[in-house]
Amino acid sequence: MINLEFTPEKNGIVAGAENAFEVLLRASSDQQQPDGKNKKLPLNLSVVIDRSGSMSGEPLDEAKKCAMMLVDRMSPNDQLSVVTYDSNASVVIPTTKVARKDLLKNEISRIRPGGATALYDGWSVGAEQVAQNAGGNYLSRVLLLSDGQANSGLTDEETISSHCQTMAENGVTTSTYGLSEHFNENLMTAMAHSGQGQAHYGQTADDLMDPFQEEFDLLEAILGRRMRLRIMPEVGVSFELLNGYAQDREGRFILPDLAYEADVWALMKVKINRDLCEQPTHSSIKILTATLDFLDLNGNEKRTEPCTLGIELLSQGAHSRLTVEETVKQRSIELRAAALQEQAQIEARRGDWAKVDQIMEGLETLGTDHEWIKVSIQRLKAYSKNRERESFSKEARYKSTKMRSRNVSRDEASWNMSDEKARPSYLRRKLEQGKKQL
Amino acid sequence: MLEKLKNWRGNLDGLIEQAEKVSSGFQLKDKTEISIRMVRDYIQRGILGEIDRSGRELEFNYSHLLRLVLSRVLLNDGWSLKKIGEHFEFTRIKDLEQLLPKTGNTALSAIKRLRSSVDGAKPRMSREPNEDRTYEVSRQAAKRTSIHQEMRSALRKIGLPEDGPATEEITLIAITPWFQALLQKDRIRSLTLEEADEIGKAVSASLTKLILKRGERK
Repeated sequence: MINLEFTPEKNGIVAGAENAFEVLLRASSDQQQPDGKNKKLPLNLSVVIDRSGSMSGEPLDEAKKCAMMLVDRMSPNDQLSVVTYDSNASVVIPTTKVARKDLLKNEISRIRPGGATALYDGWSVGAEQVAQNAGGNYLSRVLLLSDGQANSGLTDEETISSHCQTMAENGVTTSTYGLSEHFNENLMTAMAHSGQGQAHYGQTADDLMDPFQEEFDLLEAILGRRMRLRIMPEVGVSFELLNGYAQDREGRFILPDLAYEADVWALMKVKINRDLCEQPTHSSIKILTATLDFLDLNGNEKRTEPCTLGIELLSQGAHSRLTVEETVKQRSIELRAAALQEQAQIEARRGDWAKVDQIMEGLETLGTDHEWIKVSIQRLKAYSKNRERESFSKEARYKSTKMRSRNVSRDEASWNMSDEKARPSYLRRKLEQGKKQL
Repeated sequence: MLEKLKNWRGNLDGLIEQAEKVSSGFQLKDKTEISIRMVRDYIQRGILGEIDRSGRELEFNYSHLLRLVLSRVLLNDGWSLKKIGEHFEFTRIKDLEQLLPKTGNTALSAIKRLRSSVDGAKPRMSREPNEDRTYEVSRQAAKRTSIHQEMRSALRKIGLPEDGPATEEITLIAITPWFQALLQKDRIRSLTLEEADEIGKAVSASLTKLILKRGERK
């Protein structure tokens, strides 16, 4: 069972005044991950590998190793297909049960480099393979790898992303893996965001296995998927969700999949009209109600019990003496850091390094109250100092994406390397998104 | 359900009634009821195709029913009526049937519809026969212009600084990924179909000359 919990910035608001404050909403489960490999959702994956000319050599070899690692880790009840693309897309392994692992790995080992990058064709053929068995109780996902710009076939970022979104709505999600310096980070993160999957990248072929392992760990640990959050404010209350989660046609926010030992979260800015606060101090007012629709491990549609946020009205003095909830503060800083890094990426792409430097100063200030941000922006600073546009843009974009929507460990405290190492890979706060670490 | 109605024939009211019944099985988000006005609009736009008359009454059949139901499905996916009309004009009934949501597997029909919405319809698959290939490729490519990234990489390849000052407004046409042409934008405005045809022939002639020079004529 998944539970929802509201945590306001402070445990009270000011009576007789308009109030604006932040509220954290967390979705989590007390369930323990069952032992044994057969207790997870059966997987239905398509690995889509870029075999364009630029992948020749180590990148393609490493991509094949990643695909083979997936074969090794998958169970006989899982389904896998492998698609490659250059100027054309071809199905190397049509959707099949992962029974004869040696045969599958042999087919993967025979993939050779080719020509241009028809990224959309590759993705759509992979999506079709997965779609054949989508629905039911499979966790269906396309894992798309590319080291280049989509330069053949459909290349429009918005259209490709909207197709990823439509497929996600139909039960086929998309994760993307960018490799090295020349892929389009905006397209790849947009596809993963719309496709409700994960966005990863590796600076070198050697860094690629890490995110594949991380994704597989996450897929094995998912207990709630197609998470849709509905928030209903009371009259006189308005809110803005700050994570940038997309909304479905019913206005529900699309949250990331929930894994064992994790929180999925949303931070919102809430405003309450003065009229609603014109009540005696120490009285309590109801301001928000939330429910979450999701698919459980058996593929059944479930809805959480409604969770309501009520808050106490206090005098100005009593309110100012309240301390800010540390978890809310930390998430708030992360979202501000995410926004700054997104802006920095845009400026770096424009070549406006003066603005980038200015934004980096802002990030450093945020880091004084947040250990992970403090340590993790060091590489970013080095890239900006050396004016390394590609490395900077990619790291800034992926770090921003991660900070906006990551699964958070339920016992997470201030960042330190040894604690992070002990966590499941999908809950670790890495120092650099494009590097294998920890 | 539609496959059982291949021999269906009826008037306007019958068409609406059947289309409502079939559409309700697809659980579309848009619950707008099909009306006489809507059907007339679709007829006017050419979405339903040619329609016979019996006296004053219009006579509909399975193909009209399929087109009407499919229009509702595609609108639900975000297609415009204009795009639906264009697509239906050049698509066989058999291929339109493939776009209908299949009971129990919405994902498969969704990916087919998405591909149909892309110029060129099918992804280019290796080892797949490609009829009338030359024309198809150039027509698709002509629609994929103004791609900044391609322009940048093309300029980079010929050694020009990508952020250098532009002296003229130009548009890039990717004829194939390895064959791209730069056009003066103001000239495009006055380009005629005849000129486009002539240019095509000139390009063919130049390429043929290159192949012959290589001694690899097939």
